[in-house]
Amino acid sequence: MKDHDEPTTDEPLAGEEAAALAALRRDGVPPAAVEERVVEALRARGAFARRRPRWTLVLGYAAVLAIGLGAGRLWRPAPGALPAQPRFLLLLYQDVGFQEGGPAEQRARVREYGAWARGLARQGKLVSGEELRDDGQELRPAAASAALSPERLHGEPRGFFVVVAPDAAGAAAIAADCPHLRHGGRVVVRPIA
Amino acid sequence: MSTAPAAPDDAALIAHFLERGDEGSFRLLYRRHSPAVFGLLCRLNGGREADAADLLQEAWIRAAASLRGFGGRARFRTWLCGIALNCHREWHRARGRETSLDTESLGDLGARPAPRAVSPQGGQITQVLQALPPPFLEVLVLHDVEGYTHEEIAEALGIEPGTSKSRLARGRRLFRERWRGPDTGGER
Repeated sequence: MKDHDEPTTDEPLAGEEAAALAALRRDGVPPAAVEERVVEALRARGAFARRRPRWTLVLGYAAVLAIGLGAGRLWRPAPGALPAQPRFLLLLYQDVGFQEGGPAEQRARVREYGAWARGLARQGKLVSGEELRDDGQELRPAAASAALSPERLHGEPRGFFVVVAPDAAGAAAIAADCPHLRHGGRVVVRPIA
Repeated sequence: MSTAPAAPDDAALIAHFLERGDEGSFRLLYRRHSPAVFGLLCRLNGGREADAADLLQEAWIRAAASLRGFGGRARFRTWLCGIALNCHREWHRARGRETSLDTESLGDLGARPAPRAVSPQGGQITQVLQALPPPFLEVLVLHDVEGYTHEEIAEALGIEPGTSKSRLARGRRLFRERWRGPDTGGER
């Protein structure tokens, strides 16, 4: 604070007075509806791009194609229908560097992701894939569950694929071909126990 | 084990929103700063949360509309608080409680009916603050409650740092008088 050059006579507040004011310092919890009203108002003004294709749309597109090719069973495999190979979880992150692109690019990306997923399905390598919603809860021992904050959610995966591969190197090879990487996304490969 | 990436800073979120119309970046920016701005508005208007919510909404809509003019000289929150304070001032003026610095002397201010707020109870301190003229209330809250510097207050309110210091001195004096009570001779 720089009150030493105060042009008018200023007497700092006494301890009790200062403490009373300092006790007021706390964040508020605005009603959740306010955020939606703000977003809707901005959307009406054209402030936002059209929503990017969601993972569900991408996967849905791929599923339709896969079904059309007779490979749809891979999306809802019957027990025992999958090859007896190790399974791997591909976690997809969208960090700051992820390039969402404009509407034309997003349409092209639907085709790109769809072709990639369809290719995996044809080869019998794809088990499933889903998008994760932008909310969630966190549970810890001896603590009430709490909604994940936007800050935390930002670092969480945005979607996943489950694939089968002979080994970790094979899974990494699948992940390395994922179009997500070409658009600035990040893919983490984890073996399923 | 991968390490979760750090959350993008305000500048990155603003750039994503402006350049790509990215709704997610805007929502993250909103959720990061709204609790503090909402808390500030609640303190300024005496805890009327419904009014504070309306002011918060108006502040964000205005901020989004003028975000391209945000030069980054100040912290984003400081800039946003400045917009929120303008909204609050207009709201206050509409309620007929705006006080002109040009026509109201400090002596006049001291003569205004003051609540008997002589106890450090939360509800009473809110009443004391609400009795302060908006220009002094804003600076007092920003400086002594929120912890802003005079430079930041000047940026938010569009005034000179010296004006901020002057208003703080007068705001503190008014606050002290009303906090201690008029019938104690300034002493508790």
